[in-house]
Amino acid sequence: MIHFKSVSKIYDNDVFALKGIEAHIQKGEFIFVTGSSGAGKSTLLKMIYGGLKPSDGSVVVGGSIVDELSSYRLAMLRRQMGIVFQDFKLLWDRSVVDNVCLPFYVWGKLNSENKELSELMMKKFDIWKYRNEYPHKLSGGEQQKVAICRALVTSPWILIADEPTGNLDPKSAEEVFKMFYEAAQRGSTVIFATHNEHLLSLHKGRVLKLDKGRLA
Amino acid sequence: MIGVVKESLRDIRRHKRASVLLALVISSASFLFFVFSSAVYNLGLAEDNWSKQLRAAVFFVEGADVNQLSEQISKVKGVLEVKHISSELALEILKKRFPDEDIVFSANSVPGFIEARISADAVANISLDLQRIEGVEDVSLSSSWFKSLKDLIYFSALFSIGVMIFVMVLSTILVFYAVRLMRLCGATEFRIRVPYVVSGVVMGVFGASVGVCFQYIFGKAVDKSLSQFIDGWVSLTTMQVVFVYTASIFIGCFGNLMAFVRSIDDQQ
Repeated sequence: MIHFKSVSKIYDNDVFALKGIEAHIQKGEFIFVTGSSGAGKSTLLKMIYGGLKPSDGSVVVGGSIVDELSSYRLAMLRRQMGIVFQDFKLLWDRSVVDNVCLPFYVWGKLNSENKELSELMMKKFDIWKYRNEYPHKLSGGEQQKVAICRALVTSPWILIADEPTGNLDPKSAEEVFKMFYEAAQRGSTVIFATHNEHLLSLHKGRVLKLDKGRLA
Repeated sequence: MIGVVKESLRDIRRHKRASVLLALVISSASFLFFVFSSAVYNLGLAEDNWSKQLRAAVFFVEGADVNQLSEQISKVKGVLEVKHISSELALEILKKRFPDEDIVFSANSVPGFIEARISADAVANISLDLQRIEGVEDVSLSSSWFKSLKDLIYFSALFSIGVMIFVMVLSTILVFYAVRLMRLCGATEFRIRVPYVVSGVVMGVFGASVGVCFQYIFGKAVDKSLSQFIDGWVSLTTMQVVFVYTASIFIGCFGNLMAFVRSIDDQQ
C-alpha cells in the first residue's frame, strides 16, 4: 500500500534528513515510527501525504507516486488519509463541530448525512458536549480528541499521526492511543510516530526505527 | 459553482463576529482613505487658489520712506506686486474682517504696512530677503500655517496606508494557516480559492459601503463647519468611490491570494 523506494531527503542547508529509506507498509498494518528528535520521523510522514518531496527515490501510495501527482490528484489522495499532529492544528476561529466537519466542508460534502456521522463520532469520543465551544477553551487532551475526530470522521484508509501524544499526560496519551488502535482494527493503516517507549512496550505493532535518517 | 458561492455566504453567516470585524477594519481603512484623499483634494484646490493670493505684510520702522521701501521690496526676487496699506486702510480691513466685533482702535493705533504679493515658489526664502532691507521691522507671511497643515495631512496619509498594509499582512497570516490545513484535509485549489474570494468580495463591498456612508456624513459636517472659510468642501468624487470599492475588494482577497502563493512554496 505504501512503498518507500530508496528515499532520501536533503534540506536546503545540506542536512540529510533521510538516507536511502526502503520500506513497505501493508494495508491494515499498525506501524510505529520511532527514533530520537531529529531522526527524520516527521520528514518520513510528510512524504506520505505529499507535504515534502524526496530529494531522491520515490514514495508510492496506493499505486501512485506521490511527488508526481497533480495538485488535484494529490488532494484526492489526501481525502483517503487522516492526519494528526502533536500541536493539534485546529482552527481557533471555528467551533469544535466546525473543526470536526472541516474535511466535509472543504470537500463540499457537508450534508445532513455527514453531519450525523460527525455527531456520532463526537459522541463516541465524548466531545459532543463541547460542540459549540472554541478549541482554546478545551484542555490539551480534549483538543487532541477533536483533531483525531477530524482525522477519523472520513473513515480514512491511512491514518498518519505525528507524535500525537507528545503534549499529553500519560492518561490522555493512553486514551488517544486507544482511538488509533480501534481505527486499525476497523481496517485503517496506522502510521504512528512516537518516541514514547512506554507506549511501544504496551502495544503491538511493527516498529520502523530511524537513526540519523537511516532505518536501524 | 453556485453551490460553492452559497456555501461561502453560509460561511460568512457562520462566522458572524469575524466577518463583522473584517468588514469594520475595511470600513475604517476606507474611511481613513476618504478623509485623507478628500483633505488632499480640497487642499489642492485651495492651494491653487491661494498660491495666486500669497501675500507678505512688511511692517516698517517709524519714519521710514514708504515709497523708497516699496521700490526696494518690488525688486526682491519672488515679489510680484507691492501695495502700501496705510493705517486708515488697515483699520478698515480690520473692521471688515471682524464685523461683529467692536473695533475700538483709532487709525493711528493700527500700524500701516506694505503688502507684497509673492509667488508660491519664493515663499520659503522671501521672509529673510525682505527682513534684510533697511527700515523693515517685521515680516508676516499668510502661508506658514498652510505648510504645517499639509505636513499633517501627509502624515495621516502614511497612517492610513499603514493601516491597509497591516490588514493585508494580518489576513495573510491568518488565512495562510487555515489554507495549509484545508490542503491537508484534501481541499482542491478551487474549493480553497472560491470561498475566500467570494467572502473577500462580500466583505470588501460591505466595508467600502460603510466607509462611503461615514464619509458622506463626515463631509456634510465638515462642509457645514468650514463654510465660512472654504467655498464648498468636496467630500466624495466618483474616482474616490471607484478606487475605494476596488481597493476594499482587493484588501478582502489579497491576503488570501498571498496565502495561496506562500502555501504553494511551502509544499516544495
